[in-house]
Amino acid sequence: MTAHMTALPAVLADTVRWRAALAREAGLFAPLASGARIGLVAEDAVLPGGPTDARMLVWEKARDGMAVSECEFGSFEAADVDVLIAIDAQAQAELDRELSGDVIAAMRRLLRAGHLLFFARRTLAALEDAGYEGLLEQMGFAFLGACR
Amino acid sequence: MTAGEAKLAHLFAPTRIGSLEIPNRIKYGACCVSNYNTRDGHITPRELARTRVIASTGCGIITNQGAYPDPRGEGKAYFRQVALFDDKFMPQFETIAGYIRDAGAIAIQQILHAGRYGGIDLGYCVQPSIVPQTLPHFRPPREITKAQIRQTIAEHAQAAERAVRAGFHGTEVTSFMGYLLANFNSRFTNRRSDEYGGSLENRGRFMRELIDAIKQATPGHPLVVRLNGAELMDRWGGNSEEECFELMQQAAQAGVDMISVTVGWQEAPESSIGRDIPPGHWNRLAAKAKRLLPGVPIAFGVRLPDPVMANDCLARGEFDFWEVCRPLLADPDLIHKAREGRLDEARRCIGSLNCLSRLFRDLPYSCTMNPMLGHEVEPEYHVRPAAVKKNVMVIGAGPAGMECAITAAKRGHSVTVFERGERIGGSLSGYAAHDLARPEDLASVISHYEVMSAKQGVRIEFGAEVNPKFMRSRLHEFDVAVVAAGARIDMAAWRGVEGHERLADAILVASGKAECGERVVVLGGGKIALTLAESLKKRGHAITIVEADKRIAADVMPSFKWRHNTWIEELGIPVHTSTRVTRIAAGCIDVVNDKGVKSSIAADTVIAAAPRIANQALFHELEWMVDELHGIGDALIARGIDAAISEGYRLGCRI
Ligand SMILES: Cc1cc2nc3c(=O)[nH]c(=O)nc-3n(C[C@H](O)[C@H](O)[C@H](O)COP(=O)(O)O)c2cc1C
Ligand code: SF4
Repeated sequence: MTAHMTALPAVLADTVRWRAALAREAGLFAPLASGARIGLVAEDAVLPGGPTDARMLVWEKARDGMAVSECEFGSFEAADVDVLIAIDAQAQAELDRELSGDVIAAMRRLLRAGHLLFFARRTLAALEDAGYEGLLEQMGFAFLGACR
Repeated sequence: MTAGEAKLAHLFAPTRIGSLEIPNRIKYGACCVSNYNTRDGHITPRELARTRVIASTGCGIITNQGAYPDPRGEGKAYFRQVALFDDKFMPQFETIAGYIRDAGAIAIQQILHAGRYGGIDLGYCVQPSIVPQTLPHFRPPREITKAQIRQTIAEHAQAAERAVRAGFHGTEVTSFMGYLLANFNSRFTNRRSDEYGGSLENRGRFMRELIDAIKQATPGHPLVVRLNGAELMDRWGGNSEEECFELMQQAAQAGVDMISVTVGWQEAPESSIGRDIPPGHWNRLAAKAKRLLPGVPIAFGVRLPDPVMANDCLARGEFDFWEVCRPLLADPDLIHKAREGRLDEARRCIGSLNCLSRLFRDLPYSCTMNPMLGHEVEPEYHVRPAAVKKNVMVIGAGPAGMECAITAAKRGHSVTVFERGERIGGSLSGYAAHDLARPEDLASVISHYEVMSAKQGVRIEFGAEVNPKFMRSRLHEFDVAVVAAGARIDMAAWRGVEGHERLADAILVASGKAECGERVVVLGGGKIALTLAESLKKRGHAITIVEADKRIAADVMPSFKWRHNTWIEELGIPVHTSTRVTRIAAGCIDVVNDKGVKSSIAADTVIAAAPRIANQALFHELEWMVDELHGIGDALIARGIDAAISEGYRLGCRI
């Protein structure tokens, strides 16, 4: 299979705009431990029977802020991220519009509407130790069983 | 036949399942994972006292809380969940089965392996495939091997056999909310390539083998399976509704004796049992199951809190058993009240989800509306005749005052409530008037107090000025004074802000005593502020929220925070957090945020909805004037309805 077939959707592949968007939210990412990694993939990457060669946008905490890069997703087990965010088509379109604005608020809205799905690849305690609490709360990820 | 039985003839019609006679069409749903037990799975006296109440609710079938079946604790979902993996647990199960049988009901023991939500004491949970948690509260997944599948099925069967030996008539396995059975059934969590994964036929194999093993281990004893009519996970690869129903067909073919239709997974993006879901919303799923499987008894009750509605559904043949859970937490006498034509006395479940919020904080569950729940074992929580009959003055007719007044009156005290306003309810009336979820729920609390105070002979003096002079003029009539005067907005806290005299008090706005202009700024981000802001926005005002704290909804119950946050976003209400008001002028306010950035917001009306302060002045005024002086609810510390009802009840039991 060629990379072309499962290339990241345009909005996720736009590392330049993401870098700028994350830089605007520097305060939110400041508590993250160095090396903390958040992955973003298109929804089909996490759906049953999805492509096996999907790509992933990675935000990584570096010394001078958040680095943004692209790499292979592989699978739930292989993806080397603390947190994985899957994004459906509607969310991709909306993020494309919001990338120059308040992208965190947009993600929170999309999560609540069910257009984003968040997967924790580490335990709650490990995420908290790595400084995620504020960020994930700000993004609207439920930290407790959301039986509602 | 009683009046209620005649009116709700379908609900109270006896029936049979196989050789078992069932006195009515009501099944107590397994709503009892309580966290009351020991960390190693033993049932405590607290649990036994609670199950005794459950047994006597009047339901024809009683399902006892889900016990985990494996010694490793992979199936264990809650820290203090009961276990049934060994005979050592049997004596208490025998006691519970005895309670249920003595009450004339059919006893069903649920076996609950929580799968994806299990392994609470372990560093992992087991699932058909590795799909990481979307709720990080839960444990990281391990893929269950085929050998472990066989072992897990055997453990379920052994647990079921134990339950039957303990005296239960039958057993139940549950996939409610996304437990192990649901994990195998669902495409979301089952991505296996062996015979347990892939096609629906393969995904259902675990369930069919489970049913088969339990039926073989407990021949002649009914087995109930709880299955999702909708997972609400389909947009993320979970089962479609059609697949859910095909799985029900598989269960039926495998010989299950009853299917209980449930809705939703814990991690589903949609709400399924919250207050914003109208009663009866999911009935169509039960009706569909019944149409598909006319020969299989169908139980259903998700967000169907009303016996009258349930009776109508039974009459229409939408299901065979009303499976009721939270309504019986809120009022364990609901069925008796229905039978005796006293439904006006019922305490309705208001869908607050305090119960589940507490479970997910690893606390024993409790109920907003039923302060006794979980305390049945404690004599201090029981309403017993008072040894000395007293004249009791209660100041304030909110939930705390009314709960106290009615409880004290039940014990034989002579009770008079003094209320400044013209009706019962206190600040709850304000919430009910502005609630976007379901005002009827909150209004039902008020009408319950109206009915019960009248029936218990509680006198209420409305329009009674709650000031020390008036109270002093009446105090000689009373042995006890209870200050239940609630809380208010602390307007004095704003005195340092230029233009503070322009502020409108949120309580006055909520009660309709103060008008708002078109552009409104609400100061505060707590539940009063949010409820009012949402309601005013719906009524056409342009609203902005200004909150000094980092985030809004700090005083909102965990299970409802997301709801307010969502409404605020859906309604497009701008929220300025970490922001203070510095000046209130005609037509605008000036604010500054934590980074020192200043701005102005246009405003015709500025509402102070924070901070709240307890109305405590009367404590000092009355201290030397009455034999006994007590305080309850928000008059002690401003909190909310849970504390108000609980403290009112406890004091009522104690006076
Ligand atoms: C506190 C609580 C505990 C519950 N425990 C269980 C359980 O052990 N097993 C289960 O299958 N469902 C359990 N449930 C789900 C209920 O049985 C029921 O399906 C759900 O609450 C919807 O019905 P309702 O609207 O009548 O409450 C629980 C629900 C609550 C509120
Ligand atoms: S806590 Fe709330 S939702 Fe739970 S049973 Fe009581 S009233 Fe109903």
